[in-house]
Amino acid sequence: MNCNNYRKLIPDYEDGLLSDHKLANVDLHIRSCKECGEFARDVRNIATVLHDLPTAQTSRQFDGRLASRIAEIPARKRQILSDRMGWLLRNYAMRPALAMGAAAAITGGVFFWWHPITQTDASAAPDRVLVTHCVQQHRNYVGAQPLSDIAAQNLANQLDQTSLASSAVQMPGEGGF
Amino acid sequence: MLRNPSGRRNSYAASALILALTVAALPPTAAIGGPRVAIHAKAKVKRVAIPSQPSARLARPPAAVQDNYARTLLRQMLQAEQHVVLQGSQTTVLNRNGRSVTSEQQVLRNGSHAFRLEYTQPARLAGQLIIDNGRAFWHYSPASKRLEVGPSRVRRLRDRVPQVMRQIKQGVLAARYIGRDTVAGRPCAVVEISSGDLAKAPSRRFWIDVANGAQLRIDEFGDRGQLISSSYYTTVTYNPTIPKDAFKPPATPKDTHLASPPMSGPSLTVAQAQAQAGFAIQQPTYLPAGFQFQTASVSDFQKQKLVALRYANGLNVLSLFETKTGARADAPPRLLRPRRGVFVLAQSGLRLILVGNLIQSEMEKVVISVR
Repeated sequence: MNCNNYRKLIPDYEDGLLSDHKLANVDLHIRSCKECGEFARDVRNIATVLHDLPTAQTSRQFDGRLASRIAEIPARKRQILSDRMGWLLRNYAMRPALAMGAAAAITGGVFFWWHPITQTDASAAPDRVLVTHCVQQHRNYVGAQPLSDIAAQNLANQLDQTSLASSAVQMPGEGGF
Repeated sequence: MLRNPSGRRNSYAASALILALTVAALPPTAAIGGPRVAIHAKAKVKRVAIPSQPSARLARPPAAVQDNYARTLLRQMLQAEQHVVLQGSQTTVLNRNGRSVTSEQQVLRNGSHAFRLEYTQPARLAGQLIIDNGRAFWHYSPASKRLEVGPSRVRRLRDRVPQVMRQIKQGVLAARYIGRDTVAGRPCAVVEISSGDLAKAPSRRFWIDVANGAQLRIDEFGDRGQLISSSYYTTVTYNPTIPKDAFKPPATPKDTHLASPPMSGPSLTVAQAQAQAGFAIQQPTYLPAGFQFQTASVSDFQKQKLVALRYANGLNVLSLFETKTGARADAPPRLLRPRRGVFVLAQSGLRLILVGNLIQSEMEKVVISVR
């Protein structure tokens, strides 16, 4: 067995899920192979960090909804999903992360169902950007008028550009253009 | 030494002489409110506080002064702007949201043919250069390595002078002689111009050099009489020697980013703009007194067509921008006012943005009249 094969077994080795025979083989290998030993240490550290994460508090209905959703999947797909998810589900350290990810997915789904994303065009562009563009175009036009103050118009444009860059838009509050 | 064309020299000198004699004949008035500047033309003047309200020491216009005289002064100022060549240090103060921002710049003007402005203060603007040679406009910012290039503004300004002079002559704008003052050591006549009742409409004051009609200071007031901005020369030299490359495009590093400033497109009629934009343009059915349609244009903004309709009375400009939205045409209209001077109306599948500096009630009347 080569290192690639051993590395596939290392997560189960860290979780104590291997048979005695395989466990002994993997243990012997990671003690003698520097790279696999480091890989095993990394897996162990990750599991520790995940274990220390705060547990997401799901609602009372979360488990029920998750079970219902799984029940809706055809049986064949369910088996495949179960097999592929088996490692994650069996891994106690991964459950909080899995719960948080599922909660985020459900929340995001509800949010985007409520606020559908529309096609991006100028109409969806932030009003602030469009309005600032119009104000600057207005000022540039006014600056080319007789009786106008070109220096003041330009200074006002400079201030607007600085404000927009700092995400604190300052529209001409005094009505001066 | 740059001289005026011989054909205009005599008439120009005559106008200046008449202007000077007329001002000298006027009864003396009380001091004009505002900053006092050094008499010595070359003295560097530090920033002075600009009063937030017109000075209480302003003289009432003498009974003998006619509005026609103020209009004459303004017309002569506009004529002088076409010919006067000057170089000077200029200070600009901008009041916004209760705070003042000040800049200092070196200005070189060759009549209405070319213009150069270089910022020296504040530090973040220092080195910025604006050049207009009558054909193109460049604005270079070394700090951001950005160069904006666009059509000439002095040319557009020159093209609009006759219209403004007609509007002044016709009395569309109210002009009032305020009195006399000194700017950069030069005796000036002060004229105030507005588009209506001073208490309700934006206005401007011009300090006009009595010797040649050059504009040496301009103050802009809002609809509530608040001082919005003030630009005044602290030093001025007439007919300076202009360096050969004064109005050439600025030299920039290779990694300078080239950009176009937010500018409207070429002047069009409404029908032409509608054809280019590809959607039915809406227009206001109400305009404040004196305002006329000036021009339409179409530009691109984020791959969408942006129509701009301009209405002006010679002093103030209203810009109505229109762009299509994804909203249904039968959706109820929505009116928003993000800040003073800007109204946003969503109706008939369009987003309409009205920009101007008139009083709020007039702006509202205009925007809700758009059909």
